[in-house]
Amino acid sequence: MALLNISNLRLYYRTLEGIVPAVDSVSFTIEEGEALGLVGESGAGKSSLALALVRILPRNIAAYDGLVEFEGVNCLTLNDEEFRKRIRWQKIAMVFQGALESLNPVIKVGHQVAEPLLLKPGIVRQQAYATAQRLLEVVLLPPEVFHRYPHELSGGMKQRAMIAMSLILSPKLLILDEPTSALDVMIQAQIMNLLKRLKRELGLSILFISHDLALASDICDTIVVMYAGEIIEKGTAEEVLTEPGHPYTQKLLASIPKLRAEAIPEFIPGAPPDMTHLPQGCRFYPRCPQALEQCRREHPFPFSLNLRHEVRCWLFGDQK
Amino acid sequence: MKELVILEQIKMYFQVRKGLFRSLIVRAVDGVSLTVKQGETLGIVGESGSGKTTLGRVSLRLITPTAGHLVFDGEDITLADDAKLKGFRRRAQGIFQDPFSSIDPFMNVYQILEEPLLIHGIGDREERKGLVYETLEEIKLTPAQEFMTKYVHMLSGGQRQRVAIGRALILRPDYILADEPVSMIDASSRAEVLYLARELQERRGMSFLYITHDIATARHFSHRIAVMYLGKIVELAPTSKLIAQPCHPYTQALIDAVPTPDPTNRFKERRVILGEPPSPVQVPTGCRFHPRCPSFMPGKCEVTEPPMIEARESHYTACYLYS
Repeated sequence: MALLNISNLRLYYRTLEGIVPAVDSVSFTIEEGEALGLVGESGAGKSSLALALVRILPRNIAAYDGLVEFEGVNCLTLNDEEFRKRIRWQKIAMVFQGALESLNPVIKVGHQVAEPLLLKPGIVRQQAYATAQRLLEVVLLPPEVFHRYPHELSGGMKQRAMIAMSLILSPKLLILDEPTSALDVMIQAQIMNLLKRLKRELGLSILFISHDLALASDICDTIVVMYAGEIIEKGTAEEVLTEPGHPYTQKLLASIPKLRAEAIPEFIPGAPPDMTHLPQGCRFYPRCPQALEQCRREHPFPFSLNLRHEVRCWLFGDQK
Repeated sequence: MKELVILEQIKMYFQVRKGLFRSLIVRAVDGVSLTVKQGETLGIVGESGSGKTTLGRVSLRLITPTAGHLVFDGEDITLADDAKLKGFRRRAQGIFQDPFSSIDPFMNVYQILEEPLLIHGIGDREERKGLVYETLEEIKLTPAQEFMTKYVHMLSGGQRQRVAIGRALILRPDYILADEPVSMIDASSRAEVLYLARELQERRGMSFLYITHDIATARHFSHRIAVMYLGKIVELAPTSKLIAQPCHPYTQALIDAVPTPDPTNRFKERRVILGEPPSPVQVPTGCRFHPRCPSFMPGKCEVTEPPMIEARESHYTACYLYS
């Protein structure tokens, strides 16, 4: 059984311009110990999906339904209190985008790392601090960081502290939303090595959110590509990176500047569609270089190329 | 080719107060000499804190360097006054990292593009309108009529950055500083902005100083690359040479740190140098990179600073591995 099973998850926002289907009937599973990469441009709905999973939602929700099954429990049937007690941080923890600035500037780092544990009943402060101290070690921070304030740490160190904080209740699934986008390449590589080690040594499952396919390939076993709120391709890293099916995935791959290849990076002309006025057919149709007449009229289904590889594109329509 | 911008032994120190009586000196740029030739893009690559942005600001004379000389088109403008700088300001422009905060949200695209013309008193109303039109065509925000009345919140990141390019371009500058122009926009539109800059360069023959932390985009959009570490240039070479055969261990590490889309990546750890750059307040002795360097030679690297030498033809580096 999969650790996390998401099926037809919808998260719609109500805005002045109309309904925004930020997450539109999304389905995928994450196995124990698996890292799944969620890739797409900004506005594709990646962060909304993550927030839907940890249920940290704004008020203007127009729809929030579907199936989010974690270890066999349908999370959407839990009330907020149960969800907080049983799932959030205990089972699913998250490192938020821009997390570097979300540490409290007037509280010592060690205390902040220990905080989720201190809130549990029956936990002695000493015990929580010892656990926090051990986790700082796991993320390769020197022990004295425990007594430091956030402003005394560099960006990379803060990110390590955030990772330690997310791990303190020993979650099964860690959601990382653009964990390295504010960091220098060298520090980024260090953090990626750390995440790989945590995945291997703790058997941690990871949902890795990034706009960068190259970075996702550094850790992800499975890659899911999102566009305008829906999944347009999913498959193993091998399939998506070496035999991408959807023209959008192909274009995303071609937009990565390669250091050693002469091939110059391409770009995708145009911009993602207005989420309140989505095209009637394929949402990528207006920017697609291989668009067919059918694409303009009909919204494509996800077509299976094999057991794991799925592409939402009419070019694969005959393989249904 | 003519040397348009010459930075000569530029030093830029900042004083920061620490407590009541103590103050510290931050050596952001510590003796950098570079030239930007006419029609060339010179890339400056380095991590945050390397001083690359400060160097860029000096090159536009937005700040006056602590020491050294800034020569633009044969004229020393290190200490020139505002009146004298006005001509320079027209010929040298900047594009900055954040297109969300560097553009006034209460001005529409037409007003943004017209403003530099008004400041420099160029043309009458009709001529200005013509220039704005022409520029919109050049930055490919078409139909121009439609974009002119838009406000920046209605534009995507890539489009905003093109407006920023248009604003820099409308004065027909000879030199443009582009400081991390694409780091905040989607990867899928980065190349579009960079191509636009390159196309304009080929048509107009202007020079770019392209400052970035991303050596991969620098490789595709610069003629030469200078690698900066803690306020110093550690390597300078034509792009293809620098990428194919980097001399300095730091450059090598920067190259190794670039991720490539490869499904086998996840099975191996990336080769990476440990630690983080030290603070520019306490610069290490000798070679600044020696505490992190995988090729550190005790008794040499930490003693005296390595001089910049020509390790191979037109390929300069400051490292004892080559002298």
